[in-house]
Amino acid sequence: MFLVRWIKNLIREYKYRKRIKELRKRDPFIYK
Amino acid sequence: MKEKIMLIAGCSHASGSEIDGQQDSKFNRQHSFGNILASKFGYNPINMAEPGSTNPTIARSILQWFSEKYDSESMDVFVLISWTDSSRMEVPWHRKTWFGEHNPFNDYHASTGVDFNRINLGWVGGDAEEKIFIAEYHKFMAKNEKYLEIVSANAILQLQYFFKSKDIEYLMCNSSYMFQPRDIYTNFYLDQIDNTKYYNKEDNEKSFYTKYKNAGYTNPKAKYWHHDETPHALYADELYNFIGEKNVLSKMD
Repeated sequence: MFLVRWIKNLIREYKYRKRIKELRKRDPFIYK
Repeated sequence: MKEKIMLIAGCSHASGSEIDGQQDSKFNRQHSFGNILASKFGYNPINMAEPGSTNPTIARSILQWFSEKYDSESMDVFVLISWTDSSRMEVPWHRKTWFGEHNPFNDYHASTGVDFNRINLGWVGGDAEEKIFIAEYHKFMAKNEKYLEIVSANAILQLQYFFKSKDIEYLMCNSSYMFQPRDIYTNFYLDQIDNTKYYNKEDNEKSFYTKYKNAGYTNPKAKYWHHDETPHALYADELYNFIGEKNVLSKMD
């Protein structure tokens, strides 16, 4: 059970990270 | 005789950022699409756009300008709002931020911005504390795109009704990505927005940055992909034509 939850979380995290990268391409501007 | 003012608000694109390679300069402001549009109509531009601005930043800054500067007896004001990417957030932050000082050539800086951090996906933060703070928001942004679009739609409606209450003429447009295709969550909000005063509201491909990027325009002076004078001049023409077609300025002629 724990392993299943852990894997599901891992997949979710991967999706968010992938989406952040995609959104960064859409709005790439850097400010300091 | 009232002074004719065009108040120009938005993010880096509306400020003319990197036209000459610098983040902010007098030359950039003068050659930005908003200032060009102001000169076409013979208005005095007040360009308060700032790199890094979010849509809530833009709405709050305009409200502060009206609160501090507006005098209906001596001013005829037309407002040009260029909305930025809907994923950006403005959030309370315990440290002071200094966006005004980073934009020395803006004509007005809303002082209330000092207590907020502007979160956009291109910037991961300076020091360790800011990096941790921003990373959490980046994850939130990726998880809640639809929610953030509704936040932007509410900023639009906030200003739309504010301008109507004060009988102020205005035009809105998009500098970059704004809305995903309509669905049950955004339908109502988008239906409330006045399309006669919004240039290409739901066509992301026709937003200023995207349209001219896809058309092949490049700016060799820019480090961070902002357009040069040519797209700005072309976009000013587009807005000028739209104002004519929709009779946006009829009250002020």
